[in-house]
Amino acid sequence: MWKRLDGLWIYAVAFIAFIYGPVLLMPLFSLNDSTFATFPLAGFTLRHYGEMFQNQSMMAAVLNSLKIAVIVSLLSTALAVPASLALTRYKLPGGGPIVGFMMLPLVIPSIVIAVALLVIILKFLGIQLSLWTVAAGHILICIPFSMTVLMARLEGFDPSLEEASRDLGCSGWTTFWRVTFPLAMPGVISSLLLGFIISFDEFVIAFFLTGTENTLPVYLYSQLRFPNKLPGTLALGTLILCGSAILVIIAEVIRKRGVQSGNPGDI
Amino acid sequence: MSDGSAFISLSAIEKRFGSLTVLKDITFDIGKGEFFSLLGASGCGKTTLLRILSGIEQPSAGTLLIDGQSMAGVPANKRPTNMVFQSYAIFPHLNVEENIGYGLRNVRIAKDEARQRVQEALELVKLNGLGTRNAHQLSGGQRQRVALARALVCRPKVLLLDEPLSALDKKLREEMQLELRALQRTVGITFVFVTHDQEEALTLSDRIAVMANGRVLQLDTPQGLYERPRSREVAEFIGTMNLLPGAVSQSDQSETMLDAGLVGTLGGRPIEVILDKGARAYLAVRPEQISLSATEPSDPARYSVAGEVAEAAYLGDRIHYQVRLTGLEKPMTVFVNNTERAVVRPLGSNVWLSWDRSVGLVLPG
Repeated sequence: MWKRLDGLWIYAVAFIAFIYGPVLLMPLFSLNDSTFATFPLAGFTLRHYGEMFQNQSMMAAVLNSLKIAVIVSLLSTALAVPASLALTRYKLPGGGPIVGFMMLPLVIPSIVIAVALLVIILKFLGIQLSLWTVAAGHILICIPFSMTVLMARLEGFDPSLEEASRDLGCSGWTTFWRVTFPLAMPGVISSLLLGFIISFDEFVIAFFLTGTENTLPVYLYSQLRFPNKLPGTLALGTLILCGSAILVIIAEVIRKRGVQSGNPGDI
Repeated sequence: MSDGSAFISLSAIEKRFGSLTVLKDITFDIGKGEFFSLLGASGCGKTTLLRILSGIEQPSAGTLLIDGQSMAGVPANKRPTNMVFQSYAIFPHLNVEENIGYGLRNVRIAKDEARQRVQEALELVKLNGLGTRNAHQLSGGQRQRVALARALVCRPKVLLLDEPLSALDKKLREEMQLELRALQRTVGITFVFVTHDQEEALTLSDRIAVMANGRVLQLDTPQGLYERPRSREVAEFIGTMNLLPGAVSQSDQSETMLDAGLVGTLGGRPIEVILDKGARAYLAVRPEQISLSATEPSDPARYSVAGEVAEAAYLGDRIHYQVRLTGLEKPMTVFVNNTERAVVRPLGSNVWLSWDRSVGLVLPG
C-alpha cells in the first residue's frame, strides 16, 4: 500500500479532499463554539443544534420541503410507472419522439421552466401560488428522472416472465402486481429516492412558484444576509448530510439485493 | 398415443407481422394425448405457431379449435394450455414452491389442496426437498423441471414446450428427453413440442410437422419422415441423405429410372407423384444403406457405382466415408458399421458403392 505512494495516489487523495473538504467543513463549524465560521476553532458546542430546533421558521421550511419531496417522489413515480411500461412493452407509433419529449425537461434550464410555469399559473390558470404549485413544478422536472430509472429496469427483464404469468392464468392487472411491479421494485425505489432528493434541494422553481411559505432552499438563501443565523444553518446542513448519506446507503443495499435476485438473465 | 380424433385443430392459420408473413396456410390436426413436434430451422415460424396455440399471439387469419372449442378471442389466461418457455421464465422473486404454485392462485381451490398439488408436482419432476430454494440457486436442469412442474400443476389439456432442452448440455439433454417422454406417458396429456433438433424430434415424438418458411413441408411419424421424405428439403433436414441429381428416363408405379449422367442410370421408388419423362429429380439414398467394397459386387438386385475415397472418419462404432464419384459434384456419404473390425480404407483408394434396388427414393427436383 505505502509503496504505491506515487503521483497517481497523491492525485486521488487531492481529488477526494477537493470534493469532500468543503462539505466536511460544515459539520466541523456546526460544532464550533463561535458565531463565525473561521479558524482557529473556538471550542466544542452543541448549542447551534439547540438554536436550530428553536428556530420556528426554519423548522417550518424543513417541514414544507419534506412534505413536498414526499408528494413529488410518490406522484412522479406513480406517473412514470405506467408511462415507462407503455414505452417499453409496446411498440407505440411515435414512441421515439414521445420519449424525447418526456426527457426534454432534463435539458431545459430550470429558470425557463420556472418562468413559463409562473406565467401559466398566474395568467392562464389564475391559481394562487402555494406549496402545491411548487410540488407541481417539481413533478414536471422529476418525471424524466423517474422514467430513465424505470425504463432501464423494465427493459432489463425477460418479457417471457409476463407472458408466463398470463399463460398461468393471470389477467394483465394481476400480472402487473404479481410479476412486473415486484421485479421493477429496485427501479421504483431508485425513482422514489431520486424524486425526493431532486425536489428537496431544488431552488429555482421553488423560488418562483412558492407563495407565502418557504421551502428549505429558499429559506436558507434568504437567511444568508444575517451572519448570526449561519451556525444554525450549518447544523441543519449537517443533519441533512447525515440523512441523505443514510438514504443513499439504504438505496444502494436494496439495489444490490435487486441485482442478485431480481435479474432473470442470470440462468 | 393418439386415439385418432382431432383434439387440436388448426385450419388455414396465417400470421403476419406488418408486411412480413411468418405463417401461411397452416392446416393440421393434433390428436388427444399425442406427443407432437414442430420441427424446423430457426425463423421457420414454429415458435410463432406455438405462441398462437398458447394465446400469447393471435393469428391474422384462420381458425383454431382446442377440444372442440374455438379459441378466437380467447386470451392466454383463459386457455386450457400451459407453456414451458425457452428461457424457462422462472419468476426470480419467488422460490421454487411459489413458482410452481403461481397458477393455482388463479383457480378456485382450497389452500391445502393447492399445497398438496405443488408437492405432487415437485415429486413428479423429482425436485423433492428443493421447494424453498430461490430461483437463482437452481441449475439449468432444475429450472427446466420447475418450469415443467409450474405448467403441469395447472392440469392443462395441452402442454406447450418451446425448445425446453436447448439450453442444457448434451448429456443432461438426453436424460431429460427420456424423462420428458416418460412424463408425457404418465400425465397422458397432449404435448406440443418445438425444436430445431431433428434427432430430439425423432426420439420424442409420435408425429412431427417439419416446417420451413412459415409452411408445413411434411407431417408424419418419425419413421415416415425418415424413410419416406416427400421433398428434398425434408430429406436433407432429417438425418443425412445422399442426393444424386438426374433426369427421369422412364417411370411407372413401382420404379422411376433416373439418368444420372456419368454415374449411370439408377432407379428408385417414386414418392406420391409419378414424374414425367425428362423431369429433373434426385435419387435419395441414406448413408447407412450403402455398402462399400473393393471389387464390383455382382448381385443383380443391387445398384453399384465406382468411386474414390475422399475422406474417412473413424467413429468407433462406425466409419464415415466421403466417396467421390466421377460426374458428381458432392461426394457420397457412406456409414459402415464397425461390426467385424473393418479396415479403414486409405484415402484415394478405389471402391465400389452398392445399395439394394428397393431402398432408393426418387424426389422431385
